[in-house]
Amino acid sequence: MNPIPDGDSIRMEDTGVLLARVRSGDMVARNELFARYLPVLTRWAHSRLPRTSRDLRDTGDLVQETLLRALGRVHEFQYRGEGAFLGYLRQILVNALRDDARRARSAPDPTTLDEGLHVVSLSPLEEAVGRRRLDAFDEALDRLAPEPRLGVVLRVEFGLSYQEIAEATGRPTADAARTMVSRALVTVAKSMGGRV
Amino acid sequence: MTEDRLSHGDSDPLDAAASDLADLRNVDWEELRRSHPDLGSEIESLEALARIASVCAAGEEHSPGSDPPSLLNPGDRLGRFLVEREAGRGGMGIVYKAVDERLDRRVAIKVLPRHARSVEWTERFAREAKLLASLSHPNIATIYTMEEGPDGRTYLVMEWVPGETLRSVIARGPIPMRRALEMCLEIGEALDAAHEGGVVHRDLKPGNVMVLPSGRVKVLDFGIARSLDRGSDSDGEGRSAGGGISGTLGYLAPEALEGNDDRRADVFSFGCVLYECLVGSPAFPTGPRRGESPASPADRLRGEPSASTVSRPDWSALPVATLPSIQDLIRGCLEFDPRRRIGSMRTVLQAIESVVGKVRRPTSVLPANVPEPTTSFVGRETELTECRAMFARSRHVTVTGPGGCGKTRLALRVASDPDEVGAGVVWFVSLESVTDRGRVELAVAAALGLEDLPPEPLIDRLAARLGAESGLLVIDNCEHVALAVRDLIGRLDASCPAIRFLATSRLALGCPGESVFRLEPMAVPSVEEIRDPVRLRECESVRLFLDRMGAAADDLRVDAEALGAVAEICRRVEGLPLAIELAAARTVVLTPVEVLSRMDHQLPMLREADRARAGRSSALRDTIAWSVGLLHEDEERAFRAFAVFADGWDLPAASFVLAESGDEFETLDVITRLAEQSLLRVERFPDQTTRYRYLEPIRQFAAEVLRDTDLESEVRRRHVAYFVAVAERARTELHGPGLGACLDRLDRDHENLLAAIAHVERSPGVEDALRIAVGIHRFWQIRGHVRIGQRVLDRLLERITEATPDRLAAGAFLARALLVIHAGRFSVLDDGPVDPTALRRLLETALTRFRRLGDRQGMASALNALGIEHNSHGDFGAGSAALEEARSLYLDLGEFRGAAGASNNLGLAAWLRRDLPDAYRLIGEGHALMEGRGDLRFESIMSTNLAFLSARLGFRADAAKWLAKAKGLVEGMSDTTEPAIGVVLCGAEIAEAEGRDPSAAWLFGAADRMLAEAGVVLTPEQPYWHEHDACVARLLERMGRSSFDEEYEAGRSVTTAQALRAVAPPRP
Repeated sequence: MNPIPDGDSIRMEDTGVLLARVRSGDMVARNELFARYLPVLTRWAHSRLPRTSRDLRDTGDLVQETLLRALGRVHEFQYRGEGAFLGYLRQILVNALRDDARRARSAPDPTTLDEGLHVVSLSPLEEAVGRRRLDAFDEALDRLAPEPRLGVVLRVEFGLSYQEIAEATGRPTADAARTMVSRALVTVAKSMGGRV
Repeated sequence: MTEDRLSHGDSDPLDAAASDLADLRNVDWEELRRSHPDLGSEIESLEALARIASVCAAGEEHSPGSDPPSLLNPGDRLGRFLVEREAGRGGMGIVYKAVDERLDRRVAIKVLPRHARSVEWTERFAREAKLLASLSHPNIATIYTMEEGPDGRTYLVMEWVPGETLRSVIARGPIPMRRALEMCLEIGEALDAAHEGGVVHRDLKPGNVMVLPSGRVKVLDFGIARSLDRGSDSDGEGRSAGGGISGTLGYLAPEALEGNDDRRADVFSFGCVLYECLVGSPAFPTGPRRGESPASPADRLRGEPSASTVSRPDWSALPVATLPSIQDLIRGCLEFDPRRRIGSMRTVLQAIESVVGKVRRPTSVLPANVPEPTTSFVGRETELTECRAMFARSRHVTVTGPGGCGKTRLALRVASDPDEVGAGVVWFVSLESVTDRGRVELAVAAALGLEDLPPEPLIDRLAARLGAESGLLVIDNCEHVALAVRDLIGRLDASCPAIRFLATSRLALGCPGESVFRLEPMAVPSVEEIRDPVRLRECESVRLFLDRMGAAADDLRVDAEALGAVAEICRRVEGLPLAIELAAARTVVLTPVEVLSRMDHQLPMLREADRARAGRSSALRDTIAWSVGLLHEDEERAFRAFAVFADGWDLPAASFVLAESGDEFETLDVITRLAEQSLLRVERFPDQTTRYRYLEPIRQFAAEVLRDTDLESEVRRRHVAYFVAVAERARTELHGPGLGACLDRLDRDHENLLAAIAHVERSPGVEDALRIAVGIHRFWQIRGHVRIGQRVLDRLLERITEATPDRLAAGAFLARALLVIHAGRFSVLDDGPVDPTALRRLLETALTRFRRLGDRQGMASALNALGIEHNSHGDFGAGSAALEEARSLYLDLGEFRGAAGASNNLGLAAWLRRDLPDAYRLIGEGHALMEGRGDLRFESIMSTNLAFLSARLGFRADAAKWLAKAKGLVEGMSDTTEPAIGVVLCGAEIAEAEGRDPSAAWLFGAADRMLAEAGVVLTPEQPYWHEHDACVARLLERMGRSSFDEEYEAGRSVTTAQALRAVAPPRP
């Protein structure tokens, strides 16, 4: 483990070290983690959020709030590499997005003034593969065991290396992680194929 | 394994494609589909996964082109506002530039987006509106109103602030030192005022600060600001449920990440803004650096350290010329540990002022002769807006209201921003010490800096001085020289067309064209607010108290008990700001709970402790005495006499108390004069009656000057006589068609009735008190004042002697017994079960006395009650005998209601004996006696009884008829508690019997909620309720616990009206 530097360091630190510092109440480390993950998660969220929802609540706001909540609960998270942490954050964000979508659905009926907004709006991912297929993907993911699921997410959605995925999922080598991911992709494809 | 083998040599085409996909290599999907048509859907899914990976890798950024359509378009109308264009959007809504056509001014409208209209968002929006409205400051964008449009959409109408954001200014480069400090001083003023008002901004950043063309700065977007106190709406982690954790990274204090932010979090953000102004770039940059090309997510995580990981601001970037004290200030603001950070904006402001001097402060628009208040202005946002708006219609506004309600403060507040009322200059004249009408002109001239130089008339010099100006002349404290002020304004008005007049006075001046702004005391906490500490702290009067005790934001000093005491004090002084301020001042040496315990003596309590500083407005007594001193003799006598009333009065009572054969018109004149002097308040009720009352401090003053005078014994005697008559009238009315109106009247006069009883109790004989108690015992019973009634009667019964008239004593025993029966039935008391022996003794004592007197009316009443009592203990023989006798007595007397009641009670006895046909016959007879006689309550109860019985007897058509009748009667009544419960229970029972199980469970839920609210406990003595538990048990068995619970809980959440609507008749 890298030595914990003094507060004026500008060296990039390992996420694990930062998390350890956050757990000990280090505000600076918290800000650093924040700055590192916010852009990654924001980009991810952009691919998931319909465009019309972005005026209500800026995607950045939602991601920021989610990240803040997650960082407030880091003591619940056992660190197993950057990828695992990213997967953890993604799951929290998925839940937040679902909550948001539920809230939007439960809003009262639109009124005449809203007619311009009746256009059904899709997220970039929905535009790319269709809403039903994206739902099928999410459901198929949910049916995977936790580690293959994390592997698929980190590879497909975040483009992490096999080495990073191996660390995150407890695989001994990058090759083992690669095998796990490609098998999991076949399982996901079969599962989606049966539903769409 | 090698990549080659995986991609080309694998025998399973899906595995091969998946491997390529996993390795982010291109796959020829067309070819794959052609060669493996049997795997079509799996291949399609893999292709979809490839597209997902590709979209994620591309990291599509949100581009302005993909904005959703606007909610409003130019030319659209929201109420009186005409939309010009969209001006911006943020997390909390879209902002439009618009015109208020009524007031002809430009406004900004913030509209809540459609998707966001969940309760949470709406509440958040409402909170923003409330907070903004509570901040009246030249450096804070003012909120005008928050309204709900005809479309149900909420919109917030705010001051339109022209100019550019501080962010745009900084984008052009660092701001010169002095200018940066001046701007930050104004930002600091805004934050300081907000903190004083109990509001934290929580999202201060250059993008939320507008720089006006004039150079003035305004802080915007308190979109996530919220009250400093946290309470019931926090989620246990200290975060506000509606607000969430918000703020902008890079300006957010570290502790705010945990939701533990207070005003010190704003100090941190302020430090960030000041740093950025001086350096030209953020103290804590975050996100992609400017000009950086989008990288893949993984690259981002793996990439070189960005500037965002800098732990501390780059202090070397500060301009070389930055003074050490400013560097220290920024470091002090940017301390990560809030305990080590500078604690308040006031300290920050002092530090900046010590460098740049006191830059033009907001209050500096006041000329030298306008007194600068020493305390902050709290609340009164609506009044301020309305008062200012009056100047759009009139050049002369008079603020009236009782002494101590804050007229001068409001006027000074209006004067602090003369632009708002279309004036450029302000003059302030206080007439407080001007006792001679002839000196009014001189006082005004002195305020304008003019001397009286005879022979030129002073009025001409005044007109010449004011004639050329567009100014606001504030004339404070006019009531004692009202005529002189009226004359002066009348004469200046014509020659000074650009002058506006703002007068304060306890009575209107009566000038032509005068607009009167009536300033009421502050809003006091409602019952709902008292239950909710968060809302309680937002209540205007409570805010004032907390502010003045210096604890607006200090949760530790004001715990729940103290806050409750503060709320009660505010109620006791009826929201009178002066009284609140004086009470709060006592918290230097007493706790709020101790202050509250002394509120019965408000006049000595509520005065400035420091006599040297005490002026007319520093003691409540003096300010009231000042008004009373302006009264004529007859008015002053009436003022004292009315102190005899405990809680307001009406015109007949006032006339009687002033003189038994008083002239109502004379009384009316006196009351009018007192109202004009703002000494009493006029209250109008929906039934077109008017009552008058003193604010509590004024009542205490009046009582003080009434005490131990000849007048006191005279008016107390008349007060008792008047309310004895009221009670004796009520005794009849409470049994007739006028019941509802009578109950309403007694509600209003209850305190007076109790005061009259208490006064009589202090004298040797208590007959008059007995008359009142016997007269209104049924009111106590119906309105749930049973405990009060029992205590009064217990005290009075002890004082019954041989000399007490028998009829009165017997009536009192009976009244006491009826209250016991009622209490037992409704379990309204927690004194344990009713003692049946004591109850019977009371009834028999009453009956014996009535028999001795030959009072058949009294005998019948006592027998009826005795019958009910016997029946409730299963002694149906004795019960029926008593009821039979009662019924025949009532019939002899022609008392149909009594006879019907006895019949009904006989029927209930039969019902308890399970003799349903006899019960149906007897109650039917009772109903026939009562039908159409106007006692809706009684008739509805009997109809419900008949509905129950006919349903149980299987007479479906009859059951439908009676149920419909009972429902119809209940819907036409004001006090529906008991009858409505019966109807809903009957509906539930019928639904259960017919197998409409979900409806039955729902209706039982509704009925049980109503029972619980009315405090009614089902007992075996209520025959039509004994099926309740059996029905519920059967439903549970048939429906299962979860289905039953679902319906039952749904039923519990509906209103009485909804429950009644859902009651369906039996199937034909």
